[in-house]
Amino acid sequence: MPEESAATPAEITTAMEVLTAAALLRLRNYARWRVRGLGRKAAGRTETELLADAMNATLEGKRRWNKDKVDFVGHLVGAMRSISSHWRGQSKSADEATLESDLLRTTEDGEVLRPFDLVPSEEPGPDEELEANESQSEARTRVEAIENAFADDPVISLILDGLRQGMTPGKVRAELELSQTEYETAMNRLRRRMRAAAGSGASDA
Amino acid sequence: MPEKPRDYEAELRALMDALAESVVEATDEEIISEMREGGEDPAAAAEGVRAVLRHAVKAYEQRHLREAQEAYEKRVDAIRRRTFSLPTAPESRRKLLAVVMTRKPDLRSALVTLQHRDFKEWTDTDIQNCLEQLGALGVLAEFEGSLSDEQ
Repeated sequence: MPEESAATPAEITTAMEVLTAAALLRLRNYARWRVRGLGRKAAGRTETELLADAMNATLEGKRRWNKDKVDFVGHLVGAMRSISSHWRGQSKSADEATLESDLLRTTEDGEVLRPFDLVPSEEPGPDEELEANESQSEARTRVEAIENAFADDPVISLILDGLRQGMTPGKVRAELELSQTEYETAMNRLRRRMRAAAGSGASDA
Repeated sequence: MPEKPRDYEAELRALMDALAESVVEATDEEIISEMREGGEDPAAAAEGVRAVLRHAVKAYEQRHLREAQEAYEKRVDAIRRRTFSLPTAPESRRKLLAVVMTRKPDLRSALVTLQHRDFKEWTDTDIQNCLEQLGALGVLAEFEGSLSDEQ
């Protein structure tokens, strides 16, 4: 980005001061879902830290805001997306074991190859393997709770199924032939019910 | 062929990321009404978020002050941790103080009172205390070569 397109700290501060309540809450809620998606990889970091990191990085010029191309909320959302992805990667390389099941390879004859058996030095220690298994177990509990909670909602069930298969939201919407409005209405329903479930002590949202 | 085990962490992450992106697309009215349904006061919650952002601005504005404070604390810490081996012989210490006062006349006026202008009146303990204070202040660093008894 050309230097002249990047907002100055004074422009950034002004943009922050004029954010509406809805814009501020949008930022917080975005941060909240991103941090929830990190699971254990969040390593205790919160939505507030994610938002503060995005603001700090913008002020320090590490993540420049091109005010001619994107509004301030869009910029902070992008910064938070990038920072939380970085946290995820950091944790993966530094703290977390890879699940052995991720590395299983099956030959055409159906023989399961175990890479860890071939490369002993790469084998995670017992603690790392336990940590990874516990993390998977926690995620499984949460995913199954969500699936059960929306079993009576065919649209959301199909959306969840698409996401489970690794589709992007756009691909899910296209596959299900949902209009943008139908998709957003379903996602709003999902957010609200998960939030309500959290209020009643459920594990998510 | 065995079925690939489900990666629940990846599934959960994909769902939460999709929910995050759906927040970006939601209307202002939806955002506000979701908050109300959750029992939160949107205005108060929003100001809480603004406070987080303002705090970041304040920290950014004070970064030079903070850096200067950190540099100062490091310097003080380095001085405190530095150990000076003063000459062991009282006469050598007296000579060292004389050298310091000659080369740093400003210190003389700051440390030596009028009636004790002449070091000859100082006891060995007075001189040792004075040198130790100068050492703690980092003044003796440039007199490294004068810190031995051979001077």
